[in-house]
Amino acid sequence: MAEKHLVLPPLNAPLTVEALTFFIRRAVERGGFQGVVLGLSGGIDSALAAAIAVKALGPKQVTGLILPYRTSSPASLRDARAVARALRITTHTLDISAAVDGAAEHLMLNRDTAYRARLGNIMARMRMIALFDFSFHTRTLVLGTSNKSEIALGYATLFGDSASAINPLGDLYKSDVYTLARHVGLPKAVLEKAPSADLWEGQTDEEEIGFRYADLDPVLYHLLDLRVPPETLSTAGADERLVSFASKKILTMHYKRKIPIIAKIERRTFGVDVLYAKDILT
Amino acid sequence: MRIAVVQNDCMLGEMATNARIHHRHIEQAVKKGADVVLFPELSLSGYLLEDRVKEIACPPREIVRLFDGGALSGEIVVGVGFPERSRTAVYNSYALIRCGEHAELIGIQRKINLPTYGMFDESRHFRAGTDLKHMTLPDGVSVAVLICEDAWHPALPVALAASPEGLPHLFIVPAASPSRGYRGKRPSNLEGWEHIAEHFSRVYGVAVLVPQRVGVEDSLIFAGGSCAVDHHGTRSRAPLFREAVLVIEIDPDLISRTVAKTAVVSPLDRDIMRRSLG
Repeated sequence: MAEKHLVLPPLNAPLTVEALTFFIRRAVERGGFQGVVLGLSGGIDSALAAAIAVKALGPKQVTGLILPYRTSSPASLRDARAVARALRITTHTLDISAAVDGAAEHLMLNRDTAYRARLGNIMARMRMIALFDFSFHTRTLVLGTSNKSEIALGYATLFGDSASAINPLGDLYKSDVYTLARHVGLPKAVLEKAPSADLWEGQTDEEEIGFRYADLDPVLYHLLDLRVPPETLSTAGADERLVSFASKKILTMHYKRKIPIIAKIERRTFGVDVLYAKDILT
Repeated sequence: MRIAVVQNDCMLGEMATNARIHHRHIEQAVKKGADVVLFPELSLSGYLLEDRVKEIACPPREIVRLFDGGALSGEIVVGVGFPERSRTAVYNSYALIRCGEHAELIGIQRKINLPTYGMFDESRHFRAGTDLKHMTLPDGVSVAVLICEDAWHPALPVALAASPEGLPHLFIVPAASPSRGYRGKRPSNLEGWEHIAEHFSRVYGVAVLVPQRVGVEDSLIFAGGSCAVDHHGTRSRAPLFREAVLVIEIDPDLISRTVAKTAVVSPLDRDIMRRSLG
């Protein structure tokens, strides 16, 4: 049977950017924060988040931390700086190599097991430490940059790049990120390069995941937003392997989307039935 | 009669601060010649209250006191949303209040259909209202209040049409609709609200006022986009993502004529309704 071509309808870019601008501005105002800080990787997600934050707050209230490891691609560093220049935001470049290598040397047991993946996790968590440390002393909010495709697949390091105070991109598929990035006019180099977590040389997300975002996103959209059952998608001719992969990840990676699970003992338990919005302040 | 539809932002759970925000909007609306100033659902408290509902809910008399005295003339009527504490329960309510030295309550509508699906969990926090009221503004203009989800229950406007009092002049539809669906021209929830308001106007011949919340509460983005549709189906709308006041002029006598012409529940309809209700 010919594969059914599922479609992710295009996002209304100006309207969505306006909504996300409003979201960031109100979150900063509500808590009386001085602005936002985010990690600038040189990739499209953080560049878009920064661009929207600048629309919301102006460049003076947005700080980019550029956090390279010694194996990070020089192109990433160059692109991160190009984004910051284009947006006129202040950046600080903090090399995480010594911190990561120190952690790897002193904190890792059984270094010969899954070393590369574990080192990648340490890098992501070291960046988280730098961002939250900056956020603490400058009273800024850490802006998350994980998109919905990554969150759906669990393609993130728990307490690493998944950690943030507010995330304007978390309900946008990677394809939507491209749509918005083109709309806000990000530098060409950022728009055109292959998505990569840059955890080791030559890494690309799509190679590691095993599917292209252009194929994944319409499937995720049908499963998550339209709630079409996976069986229905497969019988209708969608790529069965892809549907099965995506629908499993949505469930098996859910632990990465939850706050730590607390054992219920008392009548009211945080994370279970103490229900307050974060915006309840007084 | 001039009616102002206000889309206000507010501080979640902070009723005193939000009352000041209301007063600011009322003053602005009065300057534009408004006689009636309508705010959205839960305008005084914010929407995403969850467990905070039971901690801040208050009886209507406390809400009425917020509109005592000051610069507010006795001619002005305001409609505000708040979590209402009764002796036994908490409701998602909307009060119509006549402002003045001693403000007076005109009436309270309690939300009947509490959405409890997707992002909504209202049945957990509120008890459902049981009556759909006919209320009358000081100069004889009759109104019914369909709070948010209630507007999506077709039985309610039909019940108004079939009631001995008949259809009111105005449907007030206070809403707090989190925006979603950004793949069309406008957020898809707002497109839905405009369709509903135009449908009410065209089918029932009434004027429809839909004050929407604007603001952000955690993940929820309330985009504004309030609308008003006169009895001919002509729509005006407020902007997105900022506070605004939309003022429209209505003529109750003209509305009465269109309402009379629509004759929405015919004797044959009544028979069918009676049979289908068993």
